Amino acid sequence: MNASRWFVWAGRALLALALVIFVGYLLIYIHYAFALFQFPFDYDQGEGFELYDTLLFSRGEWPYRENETYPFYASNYPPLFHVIAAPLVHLFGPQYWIGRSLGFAGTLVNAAVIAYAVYREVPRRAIAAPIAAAIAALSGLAFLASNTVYHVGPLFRQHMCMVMWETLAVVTLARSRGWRGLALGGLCLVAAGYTKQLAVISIAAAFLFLFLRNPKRALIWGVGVAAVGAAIFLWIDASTGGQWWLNTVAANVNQYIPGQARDLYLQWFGLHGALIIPAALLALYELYFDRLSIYSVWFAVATVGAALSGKWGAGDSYFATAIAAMCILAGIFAARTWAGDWRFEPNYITRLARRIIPRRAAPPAGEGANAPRAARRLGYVLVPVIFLTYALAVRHMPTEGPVFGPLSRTLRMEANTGFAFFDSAGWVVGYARLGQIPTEADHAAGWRIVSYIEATEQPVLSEEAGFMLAAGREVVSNPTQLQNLYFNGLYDPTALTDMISAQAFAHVIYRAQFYPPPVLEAVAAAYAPVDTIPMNGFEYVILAPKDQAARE
Amino acid sequence: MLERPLTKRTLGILMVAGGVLGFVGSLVVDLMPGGMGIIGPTQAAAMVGCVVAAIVGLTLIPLGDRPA
Repeated sequence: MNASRWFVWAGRALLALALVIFVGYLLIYIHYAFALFQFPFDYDQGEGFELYDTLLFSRGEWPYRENETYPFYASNYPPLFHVIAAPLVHLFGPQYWIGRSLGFAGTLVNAAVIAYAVYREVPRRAIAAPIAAAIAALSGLAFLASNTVYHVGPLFRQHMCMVMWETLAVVTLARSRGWRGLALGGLCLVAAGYTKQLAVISIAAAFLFLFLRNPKRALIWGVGVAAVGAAIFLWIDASTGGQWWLNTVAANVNQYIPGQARDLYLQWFGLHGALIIPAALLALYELYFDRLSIYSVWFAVATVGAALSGKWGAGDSYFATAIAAMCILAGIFAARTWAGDWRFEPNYITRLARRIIPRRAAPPAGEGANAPRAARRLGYVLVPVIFLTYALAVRHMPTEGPVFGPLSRTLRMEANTGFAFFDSAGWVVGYARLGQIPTEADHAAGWRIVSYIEATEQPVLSEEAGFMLAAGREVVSNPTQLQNLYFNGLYDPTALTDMISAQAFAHVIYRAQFYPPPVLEAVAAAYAPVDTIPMNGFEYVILAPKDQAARE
Repeated sequence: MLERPLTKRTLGILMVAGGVLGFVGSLVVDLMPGGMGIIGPTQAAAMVGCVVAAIVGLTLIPLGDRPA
């Protein structure tokens, strides 16, 4: 066997190993998702409010409401994700599995679209179909293997569906020549924007790319997309008497914490660096030796946009868009490296490189000048090593159960999260403490909290909506929404504090005390703790009117 | 002209202009009524970003009329 063939076979064997590991990550993800489908309470803070929004939509009601009157509830999220889930809630009732399975399906679609995008860009003449398919599959699976995508994907949250729409839009626009493709991409972006406001970053990236290619067409496209978006915006705002603007725009102006963003950037690079580096190299290559693709523009804009992760209440999920772009670029980088398909058009950089770097090692210049044989040999091994390095960095696995218990012990992955779960990410402020499998004790704890609500006819003020929905009761208040509005001077809590002072609620259920300060003070004056119930690592405190609490 | 792709040179000039304007704008924010008078970490990060954009823009200008 000659040296080249040895490198090819070594590369193929390592690619197969990488595929096995990534399929393993996929199985862990599926296991986690199906465990969450069966958990009937909030797993991540705020899921219950998204379920309640969906319930309201299934009844034909807007969730953008007056916050200052009973039941003090409004949503701060755009409607599309909940509208899609609403028919299922209408059929099956307010069940968490509905939104969680939609979020999970959204990530699977996203991974498939990433794989398709990479496969479409593979230089076909220079790379065998099975290798192209393997690299494309690894790129899609790398998205699902990300710690961030893993722990946020199967939640009743709209974020990953937003990323799915963004990816669909970008992959559509990447090769659109006619107005039909541009319109389809634009509609996907509008869908992303009406799934979550953060999609404005991808809309900006798409416009920037189209502007680079054809400014006039980009301006027409931008006006069209803005017109569709604005028409929907004005319709909802008029239909809700201005509550849409107040609750989805004004309420989202939060305190910015630079240290949180810095730590999340460092964590993101630490986990995903093995793919960020090739993605960034491809973007630089395009910048100086080729034309910028939409993927490079998207990656750059999404990486800058992830700075919004420093907002209070934001977190690592704000990097999910950059992770999707990263997977596509890294996949294309891998395919081109395997194929040796790098061409360096002569310019001042290549001339400078030739002066600095010895002639034999310098990059080839000119049309059709592919990578030298030695570099191609290295590429066969480098490509799987990139994915294997990434697989090592993003390690995560449950540490209990008939399969994962022995496997995690064999791999020396001991629980490091406070749960039966190993996560290489560690923890920084903003990184969601999720990923573990809910236990029987968590299920029992949830039902115990529900029993407090079911034991009374009076309303209950709960910081999580899920317990109220499980008890078949009306959801009262959306704490973080009230807090955001209060800190922006847009919410007067008098009506709520009056009810609390009058002990109109049979119980108050706290999880993180995210209510506005006057509400917390009113509760402290009129209520006292009667029980503390741990669930999913959080202490749920049950409070009762002080005289009743004293008797208990 | 608006129907042709932007060139590397044009993109470079736009990035230099954007970087300089962004840098100056970040400084001017502090001179406005209610300005803090000190450069905070977010502002510093934005200014570094503007400098990087301007430098990258400068390196693109010599690439001439190649499509961006």
